[in-house]
Amino acid sequence: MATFQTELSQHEVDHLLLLPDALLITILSLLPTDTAARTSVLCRRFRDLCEACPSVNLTFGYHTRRRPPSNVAKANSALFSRQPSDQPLLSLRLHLLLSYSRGQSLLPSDLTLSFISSLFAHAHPLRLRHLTLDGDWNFELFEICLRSVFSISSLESLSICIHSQIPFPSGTTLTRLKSLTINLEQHTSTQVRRLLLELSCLGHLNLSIYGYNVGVINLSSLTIKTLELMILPAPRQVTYSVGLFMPKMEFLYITSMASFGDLPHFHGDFPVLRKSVITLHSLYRKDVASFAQLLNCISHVEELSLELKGYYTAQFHCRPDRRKWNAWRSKLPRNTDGNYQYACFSNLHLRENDKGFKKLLNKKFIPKKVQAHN
Amino acid sequence: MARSSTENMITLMSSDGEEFMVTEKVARECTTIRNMLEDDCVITNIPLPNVTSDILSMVIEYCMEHVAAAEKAAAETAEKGSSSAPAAAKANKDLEEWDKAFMNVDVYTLCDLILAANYLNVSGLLDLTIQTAANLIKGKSPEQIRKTFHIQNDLSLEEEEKIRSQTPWAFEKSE
Repeated sequence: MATFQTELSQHEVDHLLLLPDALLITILSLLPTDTAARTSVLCRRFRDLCEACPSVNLTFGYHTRRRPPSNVAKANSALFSRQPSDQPLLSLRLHLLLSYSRGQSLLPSDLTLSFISSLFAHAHPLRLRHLTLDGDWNFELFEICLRSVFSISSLESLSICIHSQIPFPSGTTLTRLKSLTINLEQHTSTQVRRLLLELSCLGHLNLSIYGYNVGVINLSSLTIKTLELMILPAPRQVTYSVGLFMPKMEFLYITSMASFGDLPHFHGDFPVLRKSVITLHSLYRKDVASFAQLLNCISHVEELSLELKGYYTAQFHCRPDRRKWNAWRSKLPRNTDGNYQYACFSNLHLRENDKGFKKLLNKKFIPKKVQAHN
Repeated sequence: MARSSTENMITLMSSDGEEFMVTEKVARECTTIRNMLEDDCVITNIPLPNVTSDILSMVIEYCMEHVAAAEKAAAETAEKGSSSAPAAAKANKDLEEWDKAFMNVDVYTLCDLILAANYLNVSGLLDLTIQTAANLIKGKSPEQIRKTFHIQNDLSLEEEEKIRSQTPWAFEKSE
């Protein structure tokens, strides 16, 4: 490690300022806007740089009694001071913290719905490209805001979570949207489905499914190449199935936090699938059929990484009878030409005492040719 | 490694004339050098007038570590036919730890490394150093940031007061 110099020669002073503007702006854009704005009093150069920073990352929250809330002031100087003639706004992240009182969620005292809505309306002429809304966005309250978000036609990526029953605005204005992060629930499934059909150049979808009850989810898109699916535990034991019709899909990542055997049934055909990563946080005997069905759907994948982690309950520790093993074994994946050569199985995180299960998996999962070499 | 002796060696020359012999693979980690090699494949001696010897040696150290880690992972996958995720996760963690220790430098070295990573276009090192610099700014008052980076304030009192009054929310102490 270099020793720290205690005596500073002249050329070492203001060392950070030797960096070109572009690099300093990159540093500033990694910081929350509050922190980045603080650097504007460092010196003249930083004052000008802060204004040129293309990212805004704000947290709207409530404040203590001693200090008045400053959300509007923040938004005014970080967003409303920007003019459409300036550089485009690269990214905007708004983290909203609501306060709860007597079962009601309340906006921070200085914010109003129309103000938040005007904020999104202002982002539109600024040619905003990446928008992330996290925290307590409750669009039941914010129907008007949701409509303004969906009218920002310059958006290339959008991350949003909608828990309310209000109808989605149409996604047809989002013609440039390449990446979408959204949740799917019982009452929004048809809307999400419609939205996917409307987005004409969406390549990346990150979907969380939860609170789903009974039924069938069918999603189709002709453009999606990468799908990240997160399955969250349902409030009670449910049965549902997920149908995916995405002929261009190359990468499929599935993470299941489902518990108590509510892994959904999957169906679909992905002719150009190249890589798949499946992480199951639990696998109950009840899930085995769904799991086998999932593996069958992706049986021709070039590379598969499979991770079973977490807890197996007593149900699972009971040795399943041999008939069921064989049935499952016959459903294990194979390539279209009938071997396992390209399948890469890894990290079968089984517990020590699941030896029988482990043996079964090892036997089937090691490529035959490699076994022969050994 | 026996194999490395048969690999092409490239000589990199720092601004103060010191020469560093590295394998072509390590040199290719720097996109700037990779482009030079692709334009002119017989070149073996590359002068780098913007980088001093102590910074260049650090950049090379970084590239060597990352090339070695990638080779190790590839070798394991080839050997076993499949990579085991726990081993890969551990290797990743080790490399992260190494990066973290590597960033244990004073701010001058850090700034020089940012400049060198930018000039040589080593994207991993650039991301790492930029993030480190951002982390040094986080959670500090303007005075502390000035002190950390030895920045001289050339704003007049009135100018500074004006900025502070325009963005008072930026100067609230976090709770």
